[in-house]
Amino acid sequence: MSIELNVGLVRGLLTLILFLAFMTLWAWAWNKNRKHDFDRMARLPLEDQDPTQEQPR
Amino acid sequence: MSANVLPASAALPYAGTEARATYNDKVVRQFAIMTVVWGIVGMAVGAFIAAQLLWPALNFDIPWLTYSRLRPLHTNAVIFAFAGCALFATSYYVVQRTCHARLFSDRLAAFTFWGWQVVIVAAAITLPLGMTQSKEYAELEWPIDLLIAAVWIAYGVVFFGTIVKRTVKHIYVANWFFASYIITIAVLHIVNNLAIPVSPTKSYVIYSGVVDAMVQWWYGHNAVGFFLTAGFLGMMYYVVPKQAGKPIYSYRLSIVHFWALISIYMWAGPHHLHYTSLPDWAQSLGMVFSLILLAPSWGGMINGLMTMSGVWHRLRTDPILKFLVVSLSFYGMATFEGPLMSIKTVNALSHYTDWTIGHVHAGALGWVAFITIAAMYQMIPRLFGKQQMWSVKLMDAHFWVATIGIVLYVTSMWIAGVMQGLMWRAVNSDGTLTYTFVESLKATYPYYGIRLLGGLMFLSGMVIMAYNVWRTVRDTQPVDVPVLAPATSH
Repeated sequence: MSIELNVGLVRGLLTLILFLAFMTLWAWAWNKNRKHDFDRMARLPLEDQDPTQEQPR
Repeated sequence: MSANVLPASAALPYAGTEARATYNDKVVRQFAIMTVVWGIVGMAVGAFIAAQLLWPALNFDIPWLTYSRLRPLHTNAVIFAFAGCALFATSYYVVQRTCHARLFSDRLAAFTFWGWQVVIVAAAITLPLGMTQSKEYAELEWPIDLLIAAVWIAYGVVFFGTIVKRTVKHIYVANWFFASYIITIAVLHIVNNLAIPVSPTKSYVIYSGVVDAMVQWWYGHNAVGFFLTAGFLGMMYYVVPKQAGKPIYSYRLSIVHFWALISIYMWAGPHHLHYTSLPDWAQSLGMVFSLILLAPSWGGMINGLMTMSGVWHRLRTDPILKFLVVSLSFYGMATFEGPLMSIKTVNALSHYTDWTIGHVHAGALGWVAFITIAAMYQMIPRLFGKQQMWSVKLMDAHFWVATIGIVLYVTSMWIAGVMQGLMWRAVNSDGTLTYTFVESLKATYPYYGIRLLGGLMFLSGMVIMAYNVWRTVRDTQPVDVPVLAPATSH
C-alpha cells in the first residue's frame, strides 16, 4: 500500500502538527518546574507600589 | 508639564545605579487625558448619528453632516482616538512598571503622542469632507495612512526598546498581549492600505473584487481581535490583579489562551462575508475558526473573573471593581455571541441587521470602554500624585448610568435586529416578500429611540468622568515616580 502525497494528506498532517504544538504548549505551561517562575511573574503588577499610594487594603 | 521627583524615602528599594531614574509618565498622562476627551467626542458623534436615524432632518442638508460621512468619523474616533489613546497610555504605563525600566526613548514616545493626535485631527477634518478609501475602519486616505504607519513603527520601537532594557528577567503576560497587538496592527494596517495615489486626497486600493473584500475583513476582524481584544486583555492583565490586590488566577492559563487566541483570531475574518462570492470553503473556514475562538476568549474572561473572587465584598465600596466585573462579563457575552453569529444559518438571519450593531456595542461599550474607564480611574490618581479620584460617588454614578445605558442599547438592538431579519425573510405563499423594506424600518423606530437613550446615558457617564478627572488633576503637580529596583528572587 502506498501513501499518495496529496493536498488532503498535507492538510491532515498540518492539523496533526498544530494539534501536537498545542498539546506541547499545554504540557509546557503545566510543567511543575515552571510554577515557581510563573508565581514570581504573576506578582509583577503588585510590586510597583507607587510611593503615592497606601499599601493595599 | 514640569514634574516633581518624589523623595526616594518611601520604603521600597529603588535602583541603586539609577537612583534618579524615573518612569516616563508624562506621555502616559497626555494619552490618559486625551482618552477621556476623545471618548466624549467620539461618543457624542455616535449619539448624534443615532438621532439622525430617528430624525433624518438632523443632517440639515449639509453634506458634511450626513450620516454616511459622520458614521466613519464616529467609528474612527471611538476606536482609534478613544480606545487608541487608552492603549497607548496603558501599554506605556504597564510596560515600564512590569519591566522596571523607563521608556526606551522620550522623544519617540512624544512623537507617538503628537503624531497620533495629528492623525485624529486629520481624520476629523477629512472624513466629513468626504475623503475616504471606502474601506470600513480603514477609511483614511493615503497621506494619513503613511503618518499612522510612521507613528506605529515608532510605537513599536518605544515598546520593544523598553522590553529589551528591562531589569527583570521575565516578560509579564500583559506585555505579550500588548506586543502581539502592536505587531499585528502594523501588519494589518500596511497590507490593507496598499494603494496607488492619484492625488493628495484620492487613492485606489491595489486589490479588487473578492480579494479586496477578503483582505478588508482579514483586516477588519483582526482590528477587533488585536486592537480591541488583545490590547485590552493586556490592560486587563495589569488592572485586574492590581485592583484585586492579588496575582492573576492562573498564569499558565494566560499563556495557553494567549497563544490560542492570537493564532485563531487570524482566520476568523471570512465570517463577515457569509453568502457572498467568497468561496464557500473560505466562509466555512471562517465560521469554524470563529467557533473555536470561544475557548481562548473565555480563558481570558475566566482568568480575570477568578482573580476577583475573594474580593467580592469590596464591590460595595470600590466602583473600579464594579467596572471590571461588568467589563469581563460583557467580554464573555460578546465572545459567546460572536461565534454564535458566525454560524452560517444564524448569520443568514443576523447579517445586515441591527443585531450586528448590538453585538459590536456590547463589546465596544461593555468590554472596551468599561475596562478603559476602570484603568483610567486606577491610573489617573497615581499619575497625578493622588490617592484616589476626587469623588468616589461620581465614579459610582458613572458606573450605574453607563451600565443601564449599555443594557438599553444592546437589548433594543437585539430586538430590532431579530425583528428586521425575520421581516426581511418572510415570504407569502406565492413567493413574494411579505414586508417592504420601509415597513421593517418603521417597525424599528421605537428601538432607535431606546438606543439613542442608552447612548446618551453612556455619553453622560463620560461627561461625569471628565468632570471627576478635572477635579482630580486640576490642582496637582504631576509627580515622577522612581523606577523600581530590579526584582530580586523571591
